[in-house]
Parts: sequence; C-alpha cells; structure tokens
Amino acid sequence: MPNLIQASRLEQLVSEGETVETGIGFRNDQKIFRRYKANQ
Amino acid sequence: MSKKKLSKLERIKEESAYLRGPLDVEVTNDEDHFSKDAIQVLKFHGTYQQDDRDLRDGRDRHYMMMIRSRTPGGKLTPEQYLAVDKIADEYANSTIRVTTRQAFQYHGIIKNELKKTLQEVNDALITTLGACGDIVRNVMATPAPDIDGRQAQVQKFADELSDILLPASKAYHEIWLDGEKVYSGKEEVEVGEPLYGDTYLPRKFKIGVALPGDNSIDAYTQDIGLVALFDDNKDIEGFDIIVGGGMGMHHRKPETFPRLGDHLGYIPKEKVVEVVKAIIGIQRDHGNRKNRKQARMKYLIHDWGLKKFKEELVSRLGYELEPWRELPEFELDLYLGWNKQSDGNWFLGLSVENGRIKDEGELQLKTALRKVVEKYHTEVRMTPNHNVLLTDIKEDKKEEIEALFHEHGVLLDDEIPNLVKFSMACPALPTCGLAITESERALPDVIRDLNDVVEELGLQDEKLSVRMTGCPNGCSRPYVADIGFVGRSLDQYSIFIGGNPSGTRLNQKYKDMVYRKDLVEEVRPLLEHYKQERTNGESFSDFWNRVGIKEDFQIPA
Repeated sequence: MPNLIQASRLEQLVSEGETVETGIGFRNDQKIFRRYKANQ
Repeated sequence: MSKKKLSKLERIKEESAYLRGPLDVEVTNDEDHFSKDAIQVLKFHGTYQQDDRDLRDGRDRHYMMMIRSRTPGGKLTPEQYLAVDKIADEYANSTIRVTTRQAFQYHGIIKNELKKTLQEVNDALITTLGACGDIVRNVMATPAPDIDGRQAQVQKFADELSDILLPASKAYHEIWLDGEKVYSGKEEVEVGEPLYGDTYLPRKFKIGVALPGDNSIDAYTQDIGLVALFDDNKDIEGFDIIVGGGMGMHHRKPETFPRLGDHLGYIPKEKVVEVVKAIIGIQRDHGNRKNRKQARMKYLIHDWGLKKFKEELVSRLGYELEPWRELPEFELDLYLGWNKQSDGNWFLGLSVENGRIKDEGELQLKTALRKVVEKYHTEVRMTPNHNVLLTDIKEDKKEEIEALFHEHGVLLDDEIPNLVKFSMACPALPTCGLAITESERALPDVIRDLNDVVEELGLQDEKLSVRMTGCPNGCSRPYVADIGFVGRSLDQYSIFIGGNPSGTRLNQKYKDMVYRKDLVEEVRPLLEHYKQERTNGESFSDFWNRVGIKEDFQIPA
C-alpha cells in the first residue's frame, strides 16, 4: 500500500538512494504531499 | 454591479467546508445515488454522477458514476496502465475512455463500489482529485515522450504545475482513503485554500502546455495556454502566455460563445508559477459567480478587454510581462505510427477511434494494449486527440508488436483513413447527462459515409478534422475543427465549417438543425466546391475562410 509523505522529504529519501514510485497527494499552501511506494 | 444573487453552486461550495459535506455523510449510506448538493462536491473529487439514459424509464434512473483521472500530460507508467485496465474490468463497464484532456474515464461504476474503486486507483498512485469541478483541471502537455530533449521538460513542468495547483483540502483523503495520516515533519498542516479560497473558482479552469510548432493541446482553447520556449541548450527559458480561450456555448444564447485565447506576453520560467497563480486569482476574484453560463474566464476577458486584464495582472504582480515572442506556425501532430525517441528507442502512436479502449467483436484493442504493456513494459501517453502512444520500444520489437496488434484486429497508422484519424467525439449518450444527441456512438457511421465522399472526390490525403459533440459545451473542441457537428436537438446537429486542425482558427456556423442522416449530404457540396475552386495547396479551412462561410451560405452555381 502506498504511503503519504511531504514531497521535500520524499526527495530526500530518493537522494539517499531509495527507489520509489510516486503519485499525487495534495497541496497545502506551499507544501506538496505525495503518495509513494518504495520499490523492494 | 448586478444585484442578482450568487448561483446556487456558490452556496454549495461554501457550505461544503472545503469539499466535504454533504458528500462525506452520503458516501456510506444505502442510497444508490448522491443528493443534488453532494454531486456538485463530488465533481471536485473527480467523479460525476450519471445514469444510463438508455435505461431511463419514467422517473426511474439507473445511477452510475463516471471517474476521471488527473494525469498531467496523459502519462501512465506500465504498472499504472495495467492497474487502470484491471479496475475497468472489476468495477466499470470494461472500457477505458481516453479523454480530449489526456485523462482516462471509467463509466458505469455503482455508488457502493465508488470508494473501493477510488482506493484502487490511488493504490496505483493515480489521483482523481481536481479532475472535475470549479478548479484547475488536468494540466495538458504535448503527449510525445522525449524526441529532442524538449518534451520531457514540458512533461516535468506540467507535473509540477499540476501539483502546485491541487486543492489544499484533505477532504479527498479523509473521505475516500480513510483519513490517511499525513507526514508533515514538525510543521503543523494548515487549513483552508490559500489559492482557491472558500468557494474555489467560479467555473472550471483549463491549462495546457504546448511546444513551439506543436499545438496538439490546442493552446488557444485553454483558459491559460503556455508555450514553452527554449534556450540554446534546449532548456526551458520561459513561456509565451495565452489567456481566455474556451469552447463552450449555449444554443440560442448569443452572449455565450467559443473563444480563442489572446496573446498576453512572455514570462521567464522562474516567474511563470507566480503569473499563473495571479491569473487564477483574477478569475477567482472577478469571474462571474452569479451566472454560470458566463463564468468562464473567457467572458471576463471579453468584457474587460485584454488591456484591463493585463493592468489588473500587473498590479497584482508588481511588474510587467515581457512582449510576446514570435512563434513558428502551429501544426497538429497526432504522433501516430512509429516515432524515434531521443534515447534511440521508438514510440508507437495508435489511433483510438472515439477514445474508447474496449474489446468488441474482432477489434480487441483493450486486450492487445494490455498484452503489449505487460510484455514490453511500455509507458502509455494519452493524447489530446484521445489516442495513445506506447513508449520505450526497442527497434527489434517493432515487428512483433505490429503483429500482435494485427492479431487483435487493431489497425495501425497508415491503414486508417485520414478522416478517421483526425476525427474526435465526446462520449455523449448514454452516459453524459448534458448530451442532447448521440456523438461517440454516431460518429463512426457518419465518418465512414463522409470518407466515401472524400475518397470519391480524391481528397483522402487532406488532413480534415471532423469533431462531433452531443451538446454545445464542446468537449471534443468542435469549434476549431474543419467540420464540427454539434448536438442541437433530438438527433439534429448544427454544422460548423472552417476551423483548422492546428487550433488557431474558429469555425463558423453553416447549418442549423440538420438530422444526423443528412449530415454527410449537407457537407458534400462544400467538399465539391472546395475541390473545384481551391488554389494550389489551399486547405479546406483556408478556402472557406477566404470565400467567407456563414450560416446558410449559398454555394455559387
């Protein structure tokens, strides 16, 4: 099941080497939340 | 300022408390349909309540839901496409409808399976949030995958812009995804809608991103059309901005009309989001909230004039836009057949007649697409002309893939008449509540009869666009087609002539109240006259604009 996370945090995870697929969550002012699945 | 009351929908939006009530309490009740107020809120969640109009019996309604995706640039990963295919069989009517705004639609979902369907769509990392309703809809972008380094940048920009313009409300997640917790670090999540306000926009709002020379998204028909301009390194440098386009009109209401957008100016890339938000803000604050038939931004710009609109924009931004940068002439490229990508792979454009992916008789398009995506792991791009592009195909797989499609009765680019490839239709009956006439179900016969005439006259190599809609709202963008058939009354259409496939010219009404059976014979004399009188290389659109087509035009003997 996908998780929901702040986009900036997700970018951090990706930069640390995690491979993820992402979808759209919602926007809250300037913050964007994305649904993501970490690839095993 | 008129003292007319705000439209009822404005109250519904305000009382919904950011897209919640009364939808939130009706989702789980035992009714087979939502209340009138709830269906207005439901639209913002990407779902329309419809009923099968073939099955109407007196006051009895066979209620069902239509779900629309928010898929910027129409892009789906292989995994997402396979999920979309599976969900169509499980909950919908086993078809996938590619829309003219690069989304997919499911039809025929019953209310008590709506939540489960939306959950599965979201599990595939696709949202439907903001796909309908008075909000920025799906952001369109040139559908081609990377050909020369520019397309992928436009897709990335469309993705980012779409994210930024999502509503802030978490109602969608609370209602459909069981209030999933949000990770927000140490910051508190704020409430409210910073961009849209308590009552969102006065009406739907459409944005598309084009490439110079490639107007497949019909930039002039969008509320905001952005044309990406590139520097010498092929990086996006900025955007030409077009504002105030829109297709919808109402019969016998001359104060409503289709309109092509105006050239607003140029803006560097780093400022474009700020400008887009400011334009949306003007429409939010000054768009007509009393009469929904006058509520699109095109009417605001028509009433104000571009000068006043620009002054308001500048006052909000605190700076001027740069002058419009001249562009090469736009063309419509359907990207059908085999096209090479910048990485050496290929993409295959498939014509999907009327946008309906289905298995029916010898045509097993849905099965064929599923098999190709499964086996070759292709991405799927839904195009603004309701076709699909399959990407990332190796050179040595091209023949196998062609054979697979042929085995399933699917014709490829050069096997399909131009007239069919350049035709579009909206869904209309039996699902759309606004439809006056047939469209998707009628156009295949009409287009084949018309193609017989076109071939008889030797015009089969012309790129004539024919677009049909079941009502005047213009979902298939009929008012920029060479030939537009617009639903007018029971089985009768208005005929519009003289738009162009590149989407830069509106057509003119030629005939009113024409029965479906007579459409082709009404158009035949126009094709004959064009054939006889055109100058060398003159297009159908150019010819009829030179001659001056108008209602009930009499063709010279």
